[in-house]
Amino acid sequence: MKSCMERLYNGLIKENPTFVLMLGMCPTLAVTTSAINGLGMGLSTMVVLALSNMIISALRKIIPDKVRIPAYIVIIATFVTIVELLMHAFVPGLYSALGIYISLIVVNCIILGRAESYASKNPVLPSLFDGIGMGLGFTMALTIIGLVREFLGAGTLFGFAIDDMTGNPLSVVFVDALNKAVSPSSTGFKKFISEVLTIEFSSISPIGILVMAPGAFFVLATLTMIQNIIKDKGAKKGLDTSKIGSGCSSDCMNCSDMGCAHRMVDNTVKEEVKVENKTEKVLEEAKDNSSEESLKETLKESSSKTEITEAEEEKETSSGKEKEESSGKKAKKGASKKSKDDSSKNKTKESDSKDIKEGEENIKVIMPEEKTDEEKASKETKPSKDSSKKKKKSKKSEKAEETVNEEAQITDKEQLEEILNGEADEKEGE
Amino acid sequence: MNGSYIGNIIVIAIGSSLISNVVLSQFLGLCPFLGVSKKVKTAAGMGGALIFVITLSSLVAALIYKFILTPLHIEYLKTIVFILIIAALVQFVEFFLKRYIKSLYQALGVYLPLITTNCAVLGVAINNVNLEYDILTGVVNGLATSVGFAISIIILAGLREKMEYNNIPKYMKGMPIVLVTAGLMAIAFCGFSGLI
Repeated sequence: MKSCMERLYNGLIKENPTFVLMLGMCPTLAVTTSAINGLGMGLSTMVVLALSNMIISALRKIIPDKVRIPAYIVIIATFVTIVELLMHAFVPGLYSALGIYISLIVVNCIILGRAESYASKNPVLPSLFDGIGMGLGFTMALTIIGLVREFLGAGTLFGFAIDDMTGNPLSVVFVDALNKAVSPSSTGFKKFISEVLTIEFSSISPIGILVMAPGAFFVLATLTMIQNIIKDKGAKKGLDTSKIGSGCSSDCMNCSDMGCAHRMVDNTVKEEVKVENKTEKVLEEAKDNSSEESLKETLKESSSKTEITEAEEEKETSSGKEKEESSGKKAKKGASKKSKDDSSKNKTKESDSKDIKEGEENIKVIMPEEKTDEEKASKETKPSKDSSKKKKKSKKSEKAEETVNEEAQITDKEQLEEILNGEADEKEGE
Repeated sequence: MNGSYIGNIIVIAIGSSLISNVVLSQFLGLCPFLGVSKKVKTAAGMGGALIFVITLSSLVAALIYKFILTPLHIEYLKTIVFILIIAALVQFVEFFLKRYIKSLYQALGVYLPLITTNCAVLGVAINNVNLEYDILTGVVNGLATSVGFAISIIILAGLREKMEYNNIPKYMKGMPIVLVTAGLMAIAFCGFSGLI
């Protein structure tokens, strides 16, 4: 149950799909002209996300690896169709307001992303809660954006005008209050001020552009600007901000492991592509837990020096993995193919036997093979910043494996809990 | 085919390319719009690839809807069928170009995988069905929509190239300023609504 709550927290706050990851921006911009539309869109996405996560997780051992993406898409599209028909029947108003965007839930990055990075590797219940958490995060974000746009753009909240009971707009109410406060007999400066304010407030009208198409871009611009500020401030404090805005806001041409681009390329039977995708899978898995893990890392380093040796050990293994990953990407057909096959076998072995140590040993065995020219290449091309990032990532994959056999890793989990609490405290402190 | 039919098609073409521009007013295909618009050259490549794929997919989707889904009365399966058709089509196009038209593949090949799950492609196919366009109108609509996408992405890329050397406030650098630019473009495109 703890892990389920952790998934909810993760989806709502830590990896909020809209505010943190910037995924699925098309519906976010298109339907948030009012809060109720945002809420409806968010809830329908949540239903699809939770159910498809559940089914995909239940079928994860049956679906062959080669056709998994089309299989996921069929499952997702089925639920989208169900939701669409139900909405058409029971909430026709919302159905027509959302229009084409209901069908387009199918191509929402969040859903396939979660299927690929979480549901295809985890048991049913956590996957269900992961879907609900992510869906709630999405719903929350859409509703908040919708509220802001609706309030500023149309002067209403959830379709209700902001007024007193008699139907006067807010500005009139304010002016009335002002007139009562300043007695009519008063003269001079006080009267002048009250007259100016009366004119000012009675001429307030909503910023209509915010509910129109261009307004959506401005809202998103503000959002990304806030993200930039938080990222900058966080980096100064030494927090891990690598996840913020890492979705579709970056460069598509280099967007290799975040989902969109390579989602369906791997239907091909080509061995190369398959191996690459497995690497990506692990990378994605790794990314999932990056913020937790990096925090853990920093805490470890700062709090106790006795654990340095352990950290060093970790780095050793992670650097091995790093090489493996980079080689998996860069290697071409020839000499490295064998090692690639080995590495892919390793990964399946790791996940199957759920034995981390065995996996680590295998990686160490492979290391010398790959320490050839590729190593040079990878070192040259990747600056130190990248490599440190990758170290984090590869550690995450260990972490992901740990979650598979949770029971054996209770101590680690407790540590994690502590860190999560610590993080929450920090946030409160801010 | 009478005059009003052709006139109708022209109105649809102008409407979906300029007035209700696919990115700037419908927000479809936003990811490549923001992600591949750093340089005019890549933006043009993306636009070209999208024109190719959307036109083809709207034709195939319309054919399948008319000759398979409608006779069998399974129109409600359109979402599932269309997304699979598009995915398969993109794969097939990539394979075909690689094998037979090398030059075109070199120009567009990189962008094809990015398009597979682009919401603009599915959006056009579903729009064609929802608005009950016939096959020719649907194809014209697809062509016009994708041309609209190409126009807007190339304009944005041109603006971004110019902005590269501008002095932008610290936190506005990167995405925020691009989004503001896109918003201003959207305002400009609102002006086209007087065309019809």
